[in-house]
Amino acid sequence: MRGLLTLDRRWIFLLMAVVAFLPVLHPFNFPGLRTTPPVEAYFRCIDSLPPRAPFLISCDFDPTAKPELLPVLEATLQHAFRKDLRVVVMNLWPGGIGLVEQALREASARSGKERGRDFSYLGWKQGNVNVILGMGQEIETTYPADYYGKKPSEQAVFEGVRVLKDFSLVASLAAGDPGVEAWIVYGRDRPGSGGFPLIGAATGVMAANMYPYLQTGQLSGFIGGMKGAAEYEKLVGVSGKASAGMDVQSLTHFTIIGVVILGNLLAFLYRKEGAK
Amino acid sequence: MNLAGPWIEVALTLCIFSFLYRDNPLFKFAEHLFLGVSVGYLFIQVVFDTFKPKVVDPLSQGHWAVLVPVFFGLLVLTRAVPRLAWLSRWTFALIVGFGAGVAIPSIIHTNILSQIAGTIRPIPHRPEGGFSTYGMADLGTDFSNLLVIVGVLSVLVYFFYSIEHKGPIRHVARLGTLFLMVSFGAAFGYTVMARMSLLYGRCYDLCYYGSAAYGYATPVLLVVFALFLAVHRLRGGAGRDGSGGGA
Repeated sequence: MRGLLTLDRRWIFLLMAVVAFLPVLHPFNFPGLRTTPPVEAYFRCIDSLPPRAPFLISCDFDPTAKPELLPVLEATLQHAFRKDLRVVVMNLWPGGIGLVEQALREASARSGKERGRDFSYLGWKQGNVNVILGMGQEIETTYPADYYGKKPSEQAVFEGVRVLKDFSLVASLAAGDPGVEAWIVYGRDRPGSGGFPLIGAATGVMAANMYPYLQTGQLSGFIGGMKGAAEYEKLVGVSGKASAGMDVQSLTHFTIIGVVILGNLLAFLYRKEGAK
Repeated sequence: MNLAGPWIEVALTLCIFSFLYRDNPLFKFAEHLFLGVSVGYLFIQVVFDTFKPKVVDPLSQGHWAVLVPVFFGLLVLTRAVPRLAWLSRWTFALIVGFGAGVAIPSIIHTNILSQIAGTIRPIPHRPEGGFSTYGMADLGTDFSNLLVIVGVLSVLVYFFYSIEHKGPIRHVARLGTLFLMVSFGAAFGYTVMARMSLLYGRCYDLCYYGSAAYGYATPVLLVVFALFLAVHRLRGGAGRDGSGGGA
């Protein structure tokens, strides 16, 4: 047993790899995923919008956050298209352009939505928070053309939408800065912004820091990490990659907890033995 | 079907994962490639999404006012010439002035004033437009509001160093430490979940591209890379990498 204390850490890596691969090869479908109030609020914010309401989704992530945030984007798009909302998608991070454009293209094709009438993709603009500030003054000045080179004012999806506060709802799907916090500081809370409703989704790393904004109402709904994404998929009624990933989450967490307990027990045991 | 994308993705994923075994040329290759591609990608995005529409296009249409920000932008490059480097301060002064002017009021409003308002909530909680019925939900909200106030105050006391933490102050500061520990634990738990999500993402793609439809990319490349690492080790490559041990 003492040998376990000096075990080469690569055996732990191998154990984690096996544990992570098993559910992907043979899904266990662990039961018991329950939805939480912040995710339910995120769902309700979209679900309560009237048909043809303008909805902005800012994708503030790149491929490194794909497993956590792409399922949220896919489910949000499906939800919004099902509700017949006018969807505008944009990026604050340049690395996410290809990922987001592909997700939007596939979701719109599945729902039979038309570009320019039902949705628009603005793409990415350099400037971080200045893009949010610019959109608060006039969208077309910041984005003279969408990703495909068409002016926003020439698209039906932008009818009645000139500045940020004209959107009925704004969502930020963020993996860092600029992200949810930037949208609160420079978008929603900025004097003259009108305090538009804002919902957010974030990677697990930054999720804990977002809860104070829920308490104050600065965020109307929130999805944290892959678990939040799986909850949202359950509410929307889709079986996406986040739901599938919960098997891996459960097994790897059990393994980590087991390894931590075992390591501490052994260290405690042999430290006492050494003291004698 | 285009097989190049999946094969490249699997190869690079395995190259990066090979570091878990030990430092090796496959990992170094993938690492350098990632850095190069990232910088190249960003450069192209900036040129075609910013420089062209914001500078080249307006100038070609005769909007000469664009030259003012371009001039200040070029001043930053004077950092490379020590004798003229002071000129770059004009640009930095503009950036800092604008940034501070925009950020300070907004951040004070968002992260201080709104958070104070969110902390001080009426107890007992009264639902909108009526008296508190003191159902279970109301009791839960009251408890939550109380917990927030106690947590904020005790943590503030913990960081208050002007008086010695003795007597009752010590107990309050200790309570603040407990709140901090819970907060760190929650953040760490979420971080573990995030890292496991990334692992799941890679595992999913490796399994997906390991099928016959993608030419068994994962098992084939796994064997090839394992052979490469074995040969590399036998030829004494580990010493040349400067990596004697594991990751």
